[in-house]
Amino acid sequence: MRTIPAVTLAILALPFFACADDVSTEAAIAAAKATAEAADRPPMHPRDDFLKSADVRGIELSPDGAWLSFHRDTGSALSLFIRNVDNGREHRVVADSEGVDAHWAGDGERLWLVHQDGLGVHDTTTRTGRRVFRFDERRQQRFFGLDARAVHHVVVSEKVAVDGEWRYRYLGVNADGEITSALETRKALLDVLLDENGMVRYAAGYDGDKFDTVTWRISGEAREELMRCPLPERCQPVAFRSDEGIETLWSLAHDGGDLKSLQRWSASDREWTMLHRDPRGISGARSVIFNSDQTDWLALAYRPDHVAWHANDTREGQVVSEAIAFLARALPGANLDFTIADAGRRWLVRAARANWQHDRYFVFDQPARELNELFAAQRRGRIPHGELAEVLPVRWRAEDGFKLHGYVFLPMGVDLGTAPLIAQIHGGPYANSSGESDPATQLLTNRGYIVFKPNFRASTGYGVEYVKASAGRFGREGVLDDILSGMDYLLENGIGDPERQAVIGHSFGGYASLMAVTHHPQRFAFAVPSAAPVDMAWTMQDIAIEGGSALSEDGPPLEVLFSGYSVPYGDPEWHARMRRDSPMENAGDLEIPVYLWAGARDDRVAVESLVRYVAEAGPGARPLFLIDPESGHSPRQRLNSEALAWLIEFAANEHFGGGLTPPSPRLQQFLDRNLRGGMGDRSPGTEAAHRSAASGR
Amino acid sequence: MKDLYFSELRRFRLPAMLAAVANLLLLMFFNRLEDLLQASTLHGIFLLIYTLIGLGLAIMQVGAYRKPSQWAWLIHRPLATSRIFAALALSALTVLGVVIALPLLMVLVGTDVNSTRVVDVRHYFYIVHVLAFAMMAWMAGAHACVSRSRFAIAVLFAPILLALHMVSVFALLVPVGLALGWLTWITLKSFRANREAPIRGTGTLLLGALPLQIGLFLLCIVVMRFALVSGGILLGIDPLNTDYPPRGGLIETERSEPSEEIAWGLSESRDPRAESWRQQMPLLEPLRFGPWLKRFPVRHQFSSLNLPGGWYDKEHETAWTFSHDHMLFLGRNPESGAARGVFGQEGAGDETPFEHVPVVAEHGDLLTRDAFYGIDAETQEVALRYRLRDGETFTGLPQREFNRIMLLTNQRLIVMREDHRAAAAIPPLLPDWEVELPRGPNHLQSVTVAELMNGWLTSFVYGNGMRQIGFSQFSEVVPPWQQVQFIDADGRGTVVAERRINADFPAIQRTYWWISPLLETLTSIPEATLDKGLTWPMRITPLPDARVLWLAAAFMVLLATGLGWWWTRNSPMSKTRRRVWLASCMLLGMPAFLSLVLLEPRSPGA
Repeated sequence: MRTIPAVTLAILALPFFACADDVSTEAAIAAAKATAEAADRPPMHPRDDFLKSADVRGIELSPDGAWLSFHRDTGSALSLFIRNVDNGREHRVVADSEGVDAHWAGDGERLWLVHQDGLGVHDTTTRTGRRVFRFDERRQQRFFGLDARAVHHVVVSEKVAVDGEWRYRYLGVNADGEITSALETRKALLDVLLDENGMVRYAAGYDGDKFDTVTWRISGEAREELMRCPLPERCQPVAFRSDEGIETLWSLAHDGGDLKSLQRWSASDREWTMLHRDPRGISGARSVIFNSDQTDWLALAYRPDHVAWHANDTREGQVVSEAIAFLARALPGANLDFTIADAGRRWLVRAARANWQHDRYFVFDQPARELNELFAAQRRGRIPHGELAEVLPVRWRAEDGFKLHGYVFLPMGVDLGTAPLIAQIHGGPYANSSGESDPATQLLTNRGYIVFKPNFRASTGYGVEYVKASAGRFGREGVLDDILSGMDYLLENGIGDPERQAVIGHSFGGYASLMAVTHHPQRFAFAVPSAAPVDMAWTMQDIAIEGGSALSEDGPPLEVLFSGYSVPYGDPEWHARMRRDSPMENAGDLEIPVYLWAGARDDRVAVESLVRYVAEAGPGARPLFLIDPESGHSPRQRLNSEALAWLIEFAANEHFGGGLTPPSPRLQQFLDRNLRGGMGDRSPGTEAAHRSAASGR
Repeated sequence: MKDLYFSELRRFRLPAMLAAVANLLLLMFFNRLEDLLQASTLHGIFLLIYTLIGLGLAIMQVGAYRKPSQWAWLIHRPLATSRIFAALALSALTVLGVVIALPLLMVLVGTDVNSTRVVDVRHYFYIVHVLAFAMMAWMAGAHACVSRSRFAIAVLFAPILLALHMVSVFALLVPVGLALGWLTWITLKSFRANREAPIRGTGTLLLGALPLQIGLFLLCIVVMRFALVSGGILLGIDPLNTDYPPRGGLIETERSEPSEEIAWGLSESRDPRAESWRQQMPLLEPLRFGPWLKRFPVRHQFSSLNLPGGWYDKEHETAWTFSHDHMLFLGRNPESGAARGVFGQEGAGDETPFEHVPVVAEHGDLLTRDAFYGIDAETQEVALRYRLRDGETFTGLPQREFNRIMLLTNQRLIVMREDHRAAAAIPPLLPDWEVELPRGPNHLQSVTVAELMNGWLTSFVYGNGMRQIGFSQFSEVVPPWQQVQFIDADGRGTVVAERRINADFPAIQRTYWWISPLLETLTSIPEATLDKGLTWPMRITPLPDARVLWLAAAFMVLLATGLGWWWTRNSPMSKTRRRVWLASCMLLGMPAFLSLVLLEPRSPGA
């Protein structure tokens, strides 16, 4: 481990974003633009450099602060190790840890190992491990979770049919693999809190025909409903105390409000009290840290545009607040996440910045204010920090005045007024772009393109109203307008060349990309949609019929889910409108080149829908189509990710000329087998694509 | 007669005893390796061996009298010829009984009494039939030994063709009894002092010649098939042995990728969507399957079909085997041998018998002729998942693809989805869509299904009529053909394309009816009348729908008649007899002429 003096850290590049609300976005854009343009143009890094994952990942600190667990990629295998924090000695726990999740027990004395077919336990004292529980596939047993309070237990869920109804059971399993308790419910649970004996004390789960999330207090056979959260809200109990005769429960919940906040329930008055919400009124609560004996909360994080921590106004909270402030100075501009251990004396800090290829991990000695970086060499990445783009949060107003949020990544050393502008649209639609680094974004900015990541209406993290505001307007009006208005806003502020715009996206983002080029063909040069529905309403209906990973079998059915998000799914007019506006319906008029990716095993977006789209696309478009035979909704392995990254880079280079790394021989073989263009009729464009692909240009 | 009988027994007592012991040991050996009573492949092998033993015994026993001096010594005993024959036949029956039936019976009784393995009445009748076939072989061998020509052994094929069928052991008694009786009568009649003399009596001649003619008919088929195939290969025109099959033909279609097949099927479609579908095909992965379940097990069946008739439940340590007597599965622990109860229509412990003998498939599927069940491995319960209409039969095992289960019957293709949201270990089936088979089940070769965004494409390919099940040929001459249907999102099917496919083989190679139309029809009668569990039955077509075959048949008749006239023109036979032979040649064609050659000597001066 390497200690990083706070002074040195302070010298590192400053972030673009402003922490204070009083700095306008326009000013921030102007400043960021100036900084980016003045910076040296970084060299063009090979595509592979952006895709390389860190050799050490999944780092966790035990609750007693004595051990670190992590996965190390040795080149031939991924192995799970634990390391003693004090003396640095480490030993291997699992030789092949691909697919194995590790969870620390609350006392740090054992590490629970979750495989896809069962549970194992590794004892840190004896340094021995063994399998303790095998999942019964017929009962659909899965690892559900654990609670730091119940040091000897984990919870395994199962689902069985009894008299024509599903019964959900949550089994307390101890370190000997014995089932010590069982809780049965009629609908699935989402969260549980355990007592010291591994018994469920509080739980949150679905209830009723509308699949409200309800928080219950469990006492033997009795259940008391404490809070009911209708869709799209979700109550999430996070901690409880029951000492000194007082029973208190903390929960992250909306409780009728727009933003998720920290709530507290007390058994004495049986009322909920809102303890803290985002002071800027933008973001819902993201995570909360408690003290080791879980008697009070210490700090709470939001993400209005970056991660912002707010400490509890108690003595302990003040200590944490000062420590966070120290860390913020030591790691300026980084989004911080913490695991607090050893009664607050030792922290695991995860720091993320958009221009860091990989997150950085530190062990923080809180009393001594010592920060030691972990696995610096293994997590450095191939690209120096100074050569990656920073992120700039932006806010703008839609035509109807609705305030929207997003992020923009500015390439360095180029004239941003003439640089191509690419919108990278997130999936979901009920998800978000977080502003953190991702390989595709950094690849594109390295090639000199501006990347804009809008959080259109329907994006999560900004409250219930933000999510519901789209109201199912996924056609040519609505979400698409939000994206376009964001791009217009950037262009108005001198970011991007209006003659060189493009859209890319995955899943819903792919659909939005297709919608953009379908309905605004004059505006965009190309689109790269991956795993893209070509008719959103059809895909939703298909998911409702076929099932699959898009929708949990235990959660609300699609019509209930959408209703909760104010989507008029039951309205035939909505379906008709969606079909009319869909890329599929307008495929014959497509004029803009599209570069499509699809996973042959995708169980969310039926590959035959994309096949049909490609077959019926307009004669001028002649799409390039990469069907990945091994992947599902997302690329499965490294080669599959590389192929998608190649497709994006290739498309951008074809139209904007930013550069293209030739494919490796293995990738070339993959492309030769799976890249199709022109559906057998090779148009000049697709011939060129194939020649380019063949020559690696 | 008694003396002759015992003397024949004494001749073979030592080899018979040795053979019996060897047979017993062999049976016990194989019974240790697996459950011999359920091992259908071994049944066939043993039947063949026992038949050869019967034939070998005849050659040794009756063949020893083939020398004229020996024959004279035998036939001129102070016994009626029929009693001489009876003595020999009964001694052979006794020997075969000791060598074949006794060891089989010992093993069977031992299994029945000392183990919990399934032993049905049909297994006992198997011994009876095996012995009968061995005796038929003895008869054929004896007949050949006392005939003018050794080729008379061809009489053996007739009873096998007419009597060896996978039907109920009870129903089989009739054709087996008839065949054995017929052969016995023929052999009896061939026992005469002057073996070179022609057979006396027109009736005797006809009935005696017919099995030979049937055997020669088979021989003609084999020779003709060999000649046509070999000739085709030499000339480079055999469609199965060219670098690439003939364009537009059935073989090309069979060997194509499923997506190609559909694309070709759409080649002449006028549907405006056809072009889009053709473009989509290379990117889709259609599924091809067919009516590969050609027959279902028949109750009390002689031996068993090569279909799984049971399964091993590892968790409950129980091997389930189907009993035809009880129409239930009977369980046993293979390790301890302990009985584990019964398994009926509702699962373990239930005694409700199945209506038909079921077939066990993968994924816990259980299929009878008209019902599809699912077995819950944990609770050992059975759920009826789908029942067909009256008269409808499954023709294939359930296919799982596209998140669907596809069921092919002799009337429809049925596609269903599993309702995974339902709280059941075996998800109930929800109907998705179905289509009627365009031309019914006859000669349906394959079904190919492709999933589209807005529906499905289904391609039905019908073959050229060449059909074989086991050793039985059921050939007809029909034109191959393909139909493509589009099924929309509401499950409605529309024909969008049809394509004629070349048959690849000429009509004379697809059926050998033309060699002898009457004999072809005669030998088809058992196939058409006996219940063999066929999923679509054979139909007799006295006149195939191909003019070239009529011409070929006429040619063969004329040729046989001409040759028959030539063979008999200076023969010493009576005019009546000659007319009978010529009529036989006109009716039965070349096999009749060949039998004439074998049975009637020519005059020295001819």
